[in-house]
Amino acid sequence: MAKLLLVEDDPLMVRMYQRKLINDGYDVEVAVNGEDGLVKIRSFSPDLVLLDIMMPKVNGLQVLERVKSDPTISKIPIIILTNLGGSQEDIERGLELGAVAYLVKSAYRPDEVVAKVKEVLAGYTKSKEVPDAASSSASKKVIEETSKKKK
Amino acid sequence: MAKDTHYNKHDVLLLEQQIKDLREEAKTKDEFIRITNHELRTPLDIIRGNLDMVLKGEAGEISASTREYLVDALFGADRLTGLVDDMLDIARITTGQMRFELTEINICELLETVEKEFSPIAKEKRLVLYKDCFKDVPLVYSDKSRLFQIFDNLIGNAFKFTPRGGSVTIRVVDDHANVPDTILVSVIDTGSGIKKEDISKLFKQFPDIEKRILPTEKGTGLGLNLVWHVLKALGGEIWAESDGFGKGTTFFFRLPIAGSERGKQLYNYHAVYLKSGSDARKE
Repeated sequence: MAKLLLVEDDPLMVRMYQRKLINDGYDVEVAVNGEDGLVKIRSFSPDLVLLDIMMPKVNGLQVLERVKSDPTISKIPIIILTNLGGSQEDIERGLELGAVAYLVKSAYRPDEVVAKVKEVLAGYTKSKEVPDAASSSASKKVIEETSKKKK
Repeated sequence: MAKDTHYNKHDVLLLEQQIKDLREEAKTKDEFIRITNHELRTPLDIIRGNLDMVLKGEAGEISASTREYLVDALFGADRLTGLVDDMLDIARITTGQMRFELTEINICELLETVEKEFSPIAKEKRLVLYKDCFKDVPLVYSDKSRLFQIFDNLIGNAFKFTPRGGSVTIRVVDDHANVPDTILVSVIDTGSGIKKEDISKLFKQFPDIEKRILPTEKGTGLGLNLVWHVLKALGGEIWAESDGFGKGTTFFFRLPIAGSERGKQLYNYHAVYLKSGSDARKE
């Protein structure tokens, strides 16, 4: 059973994703802000992190930066799950900082988020490397995918 | 006598302060739009996500009649999300916050992608989609993703208002003989048409015109208003013609040709974000 850490400050959002992920057989831990997220990444040792960006005090991008600069936890794949814009810059920034995917919440139904989680975990266990993310073609792909889904 | 063009130190400081204030104001507006976007989207996603899960059986079996109610609720939430997106885009564009990524674009190639995307939908609605690109149409200077958005909007509308067995044609011509430095694109449908007195209202926000569409069709009432603003900002313009109810509608829009004077004017437009490497011709 794969371990997922959900870092999200909105309690209703948490409940929604938690329901779906637990139904699908994941072991889910929740962190309600960035600081809590950093603590739990270390204590819970998740196989993957779903990370919101807009959170008070320490935001998602800051969490991402700190995780990727710590070799003891930098290998954990992180999917950004946010409602923040989805502009080219936001996406590039997130992928540059080391996220393996950038999902705009409005464009992905809960089961599509799970499909992405499965995809990343499959890629990760196959190669033992965090799937390649940071490139402008990767961010263009994210934008295309997101706008296709919005229709 | 020559006019004194020297600025004294006081004027310079005043100007610097004004620039600083304007930048702060722009930053505040931008932040406001970003935060509003997030605050509006979050509860909407909660509604849509939960409805979606119930409809997919995550909370157990549901009756057929329960399903009907929930499907309508989800349509409503999806429509509201589209409305939020459009309103925020309009807010951005009318306050000069919108950024464009301008490159030279081959419209006919872009239309091939558009055609591929809409062909399955056309088939489903028993409509024919034609593409008619004038040979050697010059490159335009524009924002690719916004062009896709414009075509989505216009073709989507054409499909909505054209009954089965009808057709939608996209035609591109080099129109510089009529209006210098532009190409002309038309989206022609054989659909329900628009009353003469309603044509002028089309591009307004939430136009008060008679529409003959199914209740499940999406439509925010802002789509054409947004398209109008976007084209204006991209150095173009849009208008529509129709001979009345039952006689089809044609939407026309112009785009500036790459390298032309009109295209170069886009550099001077508010909040234009230029992708480096695309402006090799910039002087």
